[in-house]
Amino acid sequence: MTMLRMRDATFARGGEFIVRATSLDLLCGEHRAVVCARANEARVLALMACAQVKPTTGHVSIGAFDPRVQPVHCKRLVAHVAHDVQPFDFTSFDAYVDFRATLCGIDAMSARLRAHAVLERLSGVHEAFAYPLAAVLAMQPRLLVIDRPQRAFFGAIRTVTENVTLLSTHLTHDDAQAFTPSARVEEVSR
Amino acid sequence: MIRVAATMAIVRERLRRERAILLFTVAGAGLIGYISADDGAARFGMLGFAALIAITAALAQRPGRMRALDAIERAAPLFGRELARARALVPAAVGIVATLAAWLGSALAHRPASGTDWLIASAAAVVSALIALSATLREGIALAAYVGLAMTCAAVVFATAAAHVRFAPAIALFMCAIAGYVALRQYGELLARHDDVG
Repeated sequence: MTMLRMRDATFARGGEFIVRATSLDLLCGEHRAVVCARANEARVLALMACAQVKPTTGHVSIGAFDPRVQPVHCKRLVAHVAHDVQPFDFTSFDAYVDFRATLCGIDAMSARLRAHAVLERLSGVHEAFAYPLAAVLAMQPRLLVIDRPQRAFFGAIRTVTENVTLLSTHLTHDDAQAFTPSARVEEVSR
Repeated sequence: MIRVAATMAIVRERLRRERAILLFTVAGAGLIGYISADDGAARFGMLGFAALIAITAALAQRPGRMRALDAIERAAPLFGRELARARALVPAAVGIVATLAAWLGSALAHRPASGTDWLIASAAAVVSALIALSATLREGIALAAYVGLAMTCAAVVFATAAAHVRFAPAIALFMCAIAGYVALRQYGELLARHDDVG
């Protein structure tokens, strides 16, 4: 089953293409690394794969849903880990997981247990990156999109994302290859 | 289906981050209520100040001010109208509390505004906040136009309530209900269409 399908998907803002025509098919359980020319392109492509940004032209489908028509259905399947480090302004990690679980309509206590289990396996990863990753994995997404993960944490991230369909964006071919050695690396708009 | 738990979680988190500003503005509204003169114009001026606080609280919901929270809300499986209602409750609550503080301030000075005045001022604060919320997703002239519209709406509500016609307060409240409904729908649709790419 195809988890993510993009057909000539573009994103334009202010008369300029940020994401040029991109096509890809990501099957369930597959890991795929996409190499982008610019950081902004990688960021928007990742957001487009998560139904958080709608394509200007072309088509994107997540699971069997169209993000333009059913963004909520798409967001139930996908999780996104951003590249930018956000200030952690929750009272505790549990409060952070509870908040995310409430918004996703998931039982908060089960989410906490899962999040702590992931967090234990992410020891060594800086909490600014480990917290969001552990929290989104606790929501049990079908597809995980990671925007430009940091090279230092590649090994730790791989250990917790083995059983999930994964799409990652990168800026260099080396990074993409190092992050997903056995997976396909695709280049976009070079 | 609208999930109350998600709505309340968003309101709680947003209010928690704004608590210092909230405290100062409410204290300011209370002080204005305490020192304002005992005539109709000053009374409406004092309550209008609470509407300005509500507009400011609405503008504080602008994407980018609370980036982490914005990102989580944007990623959550919530409909635009759900998110709009949750975000609208924040400035609405600030507006109502500020109006209440102004009313209590005037009551402490032994010149309390009437309950009807407080009700109309609260409704005006809420509706102006709802209109101002659409400004948070706009830029330049459109942003200024929405803020201007929010202020004008509050002024029109106060003017209608003060008019010497039968059922003037009821007409003012009805206007608030209609304008608030349209403004909230408009904000929900804007939010659903908005692509926040920074």
